[in-house]
Amino acid sequence: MAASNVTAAELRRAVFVRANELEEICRRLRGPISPHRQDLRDALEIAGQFPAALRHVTEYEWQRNPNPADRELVLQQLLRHAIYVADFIEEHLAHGTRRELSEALADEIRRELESLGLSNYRVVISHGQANNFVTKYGDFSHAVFGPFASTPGVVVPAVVKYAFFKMPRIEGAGVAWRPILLGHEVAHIGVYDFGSVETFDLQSKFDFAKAAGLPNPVGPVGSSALDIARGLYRIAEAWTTELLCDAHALYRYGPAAIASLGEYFLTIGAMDAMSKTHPPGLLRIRLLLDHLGSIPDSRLAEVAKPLEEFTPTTIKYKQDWANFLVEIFESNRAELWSAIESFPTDEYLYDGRVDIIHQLADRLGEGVPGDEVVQLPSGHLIAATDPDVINATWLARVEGNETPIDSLARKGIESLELMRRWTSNGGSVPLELYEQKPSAKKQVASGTLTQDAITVRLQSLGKERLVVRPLMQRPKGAAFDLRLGNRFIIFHRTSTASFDPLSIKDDPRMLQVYTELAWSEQFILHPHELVLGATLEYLVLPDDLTAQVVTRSSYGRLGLLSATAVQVHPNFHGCLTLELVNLSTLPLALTPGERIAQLVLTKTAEATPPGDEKYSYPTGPEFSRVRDDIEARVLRAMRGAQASP
Amino acid sequence: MSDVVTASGQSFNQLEIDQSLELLGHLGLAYARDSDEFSRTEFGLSQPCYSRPNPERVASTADQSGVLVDIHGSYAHYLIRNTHKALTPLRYYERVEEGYRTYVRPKQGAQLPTEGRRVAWSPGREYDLLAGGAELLDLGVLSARSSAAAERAKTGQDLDELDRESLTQLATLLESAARAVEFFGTNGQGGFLPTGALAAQLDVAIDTVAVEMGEATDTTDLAKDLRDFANDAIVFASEKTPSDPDRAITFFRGLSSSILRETGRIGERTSSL
Repeated sequence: MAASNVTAAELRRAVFVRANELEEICRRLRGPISPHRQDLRDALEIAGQFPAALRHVTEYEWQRNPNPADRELVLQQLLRHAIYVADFIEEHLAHGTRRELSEALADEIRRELESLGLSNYRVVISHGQANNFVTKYGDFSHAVFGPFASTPGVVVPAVVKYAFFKMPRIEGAGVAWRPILLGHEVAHIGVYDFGSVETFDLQSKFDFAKAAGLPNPVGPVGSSALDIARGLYRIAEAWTTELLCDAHALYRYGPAAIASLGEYFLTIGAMDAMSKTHPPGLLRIRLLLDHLGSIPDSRLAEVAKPLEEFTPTTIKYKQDWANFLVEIFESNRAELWSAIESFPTDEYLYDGRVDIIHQLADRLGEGVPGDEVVQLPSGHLIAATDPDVINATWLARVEGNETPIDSLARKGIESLELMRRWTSNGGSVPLELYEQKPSAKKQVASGTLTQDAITVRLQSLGKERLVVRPLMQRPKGAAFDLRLGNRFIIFHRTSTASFDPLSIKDDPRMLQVYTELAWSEQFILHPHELVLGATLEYLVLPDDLTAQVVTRSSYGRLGLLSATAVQVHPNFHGCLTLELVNLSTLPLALTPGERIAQLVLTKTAEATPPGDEKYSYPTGPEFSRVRDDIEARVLRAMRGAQASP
Repeated sequence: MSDVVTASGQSFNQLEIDQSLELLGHLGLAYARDSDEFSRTEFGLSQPCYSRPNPERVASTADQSGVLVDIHGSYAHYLIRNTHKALTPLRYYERVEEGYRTYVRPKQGAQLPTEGRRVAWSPGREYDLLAGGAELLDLGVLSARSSAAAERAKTGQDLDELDRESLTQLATLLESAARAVEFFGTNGQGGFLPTGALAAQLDVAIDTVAVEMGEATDTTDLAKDLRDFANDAIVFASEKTPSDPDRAITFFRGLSSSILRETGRIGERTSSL
């Protein structure tokens, strides 16, 4: 079919239609994004410049190529490029408008990149498929504008490195699987930037002559020996990258890396799956287990035990090409680790952290997020780290604890991050309050606890202990200050006519939405607006203490009412939900970490046994559960009886 | 090679039986003569496919279009029945047996038909902008521009700066592709090994020469062809005409078309629950 100007003209129109639509799409997506999500906003800004460039290039090529065949050829390429940009926007930039993934998680990734010396990468996170972590990185400007770079009149944005992470909803934000996100996925960028595949020197380990005789799934049509070797080498390169990233996860997180990767592979079916880009999961776990060796601590060894028993020691496949590749990596495993050890990050020496891991795991089992500062059996105080918490999470899990381990561990990780920022910006921590010791002082018989009595309880052993995590200030007077957390439940506009708190069908999520801020963000509370916040502190009250929450007067004087549900019962475990209302005439900018409330503690006449709490181990504000009240059923039944004739 | 006659009276010769092998090759299934098992590929097949190249068995499942295939697994059978028409007839290919492996490759000097379109079996989601896609799209625009520039040079028109730049860049890329061919052709002893995004570009360039141009896959000839095209691009860039300008322009266009196929998608995915 001969090329025609009619076809070329229609292709030109097709390009323009898409350019115009893309421009509008980028504007719509960028609009509602908070200024705190600067990386996402800037990525959309870059993408938003693409349509104008596309129109310019289209016109330019139209003018200089009067031949319809040439026009068709070039325009088809431009049209394809437009679709790829649109696809990328949809895939990676269109989900960030929903605040379901906290920017705090993006900050964790940024911190890991910084430790790798790769802080020049900007980070965007979003949810993706349940069975896949997807990481795309590189010069985003080049990716979008590459073909236009030489075209006169086109201004290409400067080089800007981006890393886009799409993660499953379950494993993406879960602490237990941090080794996958921060250990493996982030390592891809390091492996690429540091040339780790070249460091591994795959070329010298690959028998090209032998490879040429092994048919493989990537050899093109009519595969010659050249094609077979070429295809198989590509597979080997890709497998090397994945194994290097696995090694980095183990390097950074110890046994928890094996547990998280292994369980994830089992869950998604990757143990016995291989592809041109990924080696089979069994091989990956076997290499990690072999490098880890036996774990001296019998308790911690339980973390890797399920995978140890599941993974065969020798792995052989029906396909010769697969065995050929397996042999390369099994024979050169030492070089895989060497290539990672040259990374600028620090290795997690888990065997020296066993006491800390044990203690954190015990806390998680007790329904406590864990201590930011741990007291060792020797009495020394030592700061916990993220890998400690993650290994403790797996340990608490394999030991069968039924507390919400992952949400508690998330709280622990967040507290650690806050403490790091706090101390690096000049804040101090009352370390002595982390010491646990029996007190010679007589306990208060009843009544309000003053600061000395509160201090005694903070340092107590056993069930008398008052737990406050993180613990960032000393008690003062007859109260203990509480800080604002970073999680909120806010009302949003809805077309719902009314809300019945007792109705089973009316879920509070119809009118409220949960949101989480990064530590660098502020929350703007508008005049007369009601939101649910929570205390930063996770509290555990002993069975003989009750408490009341009151607004700190400094904030009350500004119009902030921070507590209406004031009574805290004995045995309470969790962060307290605060009903925050701005009674002033101006919006109030609230910063997570501000001391906005006080806790007044009172000794009860007698100990109270634990009850069936409607809200259990909350680590943030919780939606109302009034419809789950026992009486709600009765009231609904009464309403039903009234309504019937 | 004996004919096979089906129960319905249709007659198929061995070459047409062999066409089924080509189909399987296009689907990326490696055929091992002594094995019943085919490797799975990235072409989206969810079940392993098995084939027994017994002529009687093959003939018993001949489909109406004249292509014989006996594949276990209805999915593969469906695919083959619906794609075979697009493939180049087998008479341009020869069957090669190497060890336990049998495959087909273009015959030396075979003149592929000028009519008929080559189709690509969509590999599914393989590229996006930051996963190889951007580099391939770069090459697509580059080759399209180079083709247009070469046409202009051939007809004595002036070239602008972008034309010369495109041709020069393409020449550099083709030279790299030649060296990559030499690397694999000498089992890593010569040439150079391309990695990362460049590798994807060179792969397409190499495959275009091997398949689009119907050229032999002998590595020496392949490297020579790539270098010839690189030199042709340089000649065009200096506003002269190489000895066979049409061959070069055909290659540049073919490269652009290869990119369009490589980056193409079906655009729909439907299945019942």
